[in-house]
Amino acid sequence: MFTVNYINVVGSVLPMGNKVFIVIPAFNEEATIGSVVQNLRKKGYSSIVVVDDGSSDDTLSVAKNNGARVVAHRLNRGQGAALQTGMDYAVLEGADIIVTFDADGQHDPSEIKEMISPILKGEAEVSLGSRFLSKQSNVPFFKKLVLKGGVLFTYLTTGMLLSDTHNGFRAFSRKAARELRITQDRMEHASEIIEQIRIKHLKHKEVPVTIRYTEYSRKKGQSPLEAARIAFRILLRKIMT
Amino acid sequence: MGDSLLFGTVSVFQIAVTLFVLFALSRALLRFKDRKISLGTLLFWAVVWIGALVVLYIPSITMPVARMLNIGRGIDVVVYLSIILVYYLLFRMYVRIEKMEQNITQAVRQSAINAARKSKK
Repeated sequence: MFTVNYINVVGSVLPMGNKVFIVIPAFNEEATIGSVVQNLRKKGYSSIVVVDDGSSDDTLSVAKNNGARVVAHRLNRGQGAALQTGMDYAVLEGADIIVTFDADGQHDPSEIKEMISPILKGEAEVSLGSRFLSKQSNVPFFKKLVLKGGVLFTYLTTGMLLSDTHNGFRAFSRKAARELRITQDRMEHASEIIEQIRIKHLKHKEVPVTIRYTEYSRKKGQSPLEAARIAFRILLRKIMT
Repeated sequence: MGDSLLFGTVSVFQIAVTLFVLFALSRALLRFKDRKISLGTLLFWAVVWIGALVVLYIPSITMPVARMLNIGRGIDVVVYLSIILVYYLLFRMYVRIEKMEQNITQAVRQSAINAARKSKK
């Protein structure tokens, strides 16, 4: 039991038998989801959960054919809802560590090791990927402006100062995954996760990750207008409830 | 416009509002008959609309309230109260919709997880 046995190549079993689940929320991502799942499997991860959030395209079958487990929302409920569904499923299936990953190919599967390492070492319950801690991510200027706006907004509303609050690359220990409850169905969940980390006193650590910006991901990303709408909805909810 | 004389002179505006109120009341009554709304809700709307009619024909009735609240004109009291009422209803609607959305998500999530776990076995 105390010998460190990496069976990383065979399955998603890590030192001391930690089961790693990769959760990927996906909405109309048939163009990229196949290769994303493939690349994860090449790195030795076998428990890949794609949450198809009511896609109207072939996301579901593409994910399935590439060897992912698929949990399918019948109606589109938003990325926050899909993440929570994936985490619930992974916990039920016995996951020890849950990594959330984007469906559009922005994240690098080889960085999962670094993401889960603080959790394996017991240094943190939650790892948050940050594109601003490393220099490789070529964040477009306008995108950076919006993201830093999100960082500032999250700081003002939750009191947590992080370098990158709106990054879908995160890792959770089983304990953290069970405690976390995302109630914001749509994009507001990013701030909510940070808020819950504070309220539930979950030890967290930011881990530098690289984000690949492609024409595709740029099209799929949030526009500043949408970002403003998200901020408005968060404030509205804070006032109303 | 006929000032405070009850049925002294009736303006076009008063007739139009009266017709609208009667229409709104009939809708509420019909929905109550169809059991779409509760008796409480019906009474609430009845009070609101009949109150509107009373103020419409006897605007001076709002004066004592205005004086009590230190608001200059009676009509202002009505406008302020209406705005408060509208905001309250908006708030209730917001809470309701939010709750409904959460319930839908819960149902979608449950069925998705159940189906996924069943298909694996």
